[in-house]
Amino acid sequence: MNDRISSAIKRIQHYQFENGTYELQTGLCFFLAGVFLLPLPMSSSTQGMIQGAGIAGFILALLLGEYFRRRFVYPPSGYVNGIPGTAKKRISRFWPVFLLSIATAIMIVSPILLIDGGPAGDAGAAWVILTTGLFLSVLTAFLGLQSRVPRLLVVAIIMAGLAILFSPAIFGTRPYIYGSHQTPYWVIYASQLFSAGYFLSIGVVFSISGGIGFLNYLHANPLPVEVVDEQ
Amino acid sequence: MSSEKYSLAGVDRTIHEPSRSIILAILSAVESADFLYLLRETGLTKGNLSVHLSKLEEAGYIRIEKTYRGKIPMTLCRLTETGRRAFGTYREQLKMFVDNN
Repeated sequence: MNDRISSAIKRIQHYQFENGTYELQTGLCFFLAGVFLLPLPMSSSTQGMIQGAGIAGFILALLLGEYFRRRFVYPPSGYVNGIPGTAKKRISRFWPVFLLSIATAIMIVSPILLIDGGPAGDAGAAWVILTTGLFLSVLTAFLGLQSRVPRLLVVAIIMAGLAILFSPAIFGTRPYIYGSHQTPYWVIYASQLFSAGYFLSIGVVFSISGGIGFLNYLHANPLPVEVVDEQ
Repeated sequence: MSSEKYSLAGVDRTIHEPSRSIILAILSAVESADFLYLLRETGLTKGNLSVHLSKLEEAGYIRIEKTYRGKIPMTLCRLTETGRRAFGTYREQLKMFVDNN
């Protein structure tokens, strides 16, 4: 009996992530973050407009996910709302995972910072990409294991690979800082470009994964045929 | 320790019915779930599910809310605090029984 109860609870966790809509939402948000970070020469008014459009985009992404769930997911297989308990309870339940992922990220980043030619001084981009990237990877892998959605594990591995690929530390742009008081413009440009590239890439990865999940879900759970009221 | 602790005699009979325990398990994992989701997950017929839900509601373990999603009527079920406590106790009793037998 206890096994049946545990499996029912696991199935509901799987149900919330199997349809891919949360990945689509996340992917869109990361993609927008990448667009935000693109080093484009523009006036402050244009920047303001882009920021406004970006915020609208984030809200749209959230609404779009909810619309997809209400239109395509809930009608064939039922409506489920959220996880119980307060945010505090949830955080207290998952704090070891958060700590572990941050520690893992720092442990991997630290040796890179120590090697000759690694980021120095005001170099923050490498930290941001690697730490954020590895943290997000561990979190995604945890979600994949928790919800038993294997494609999230694949996404986590790709994300970790992209974090390493896009880190300016690996590209070795930072050595040019040594001996110079001012960071050359192209180094800043490259850092911004790599950061934008990273977020755009994970946005695409999440969206593709979510899209595949969503199409698979629709294939397995077609929309019920609406009955026409003839009266 | 008395042998009474290892028996299932003291468990809540409202919850101990397999379908009702699954319904409560599902509702314990989320804020709310609708009739259609419970129907799919439990594999019961509509009539059977209605009966089980009514019994759980009578016991004060769940709250049933009739609402609309757009123009479509929806029956939303959620666990009450009493239900959450009762289900927690039931699971502990079950675990203790399994561990000691």
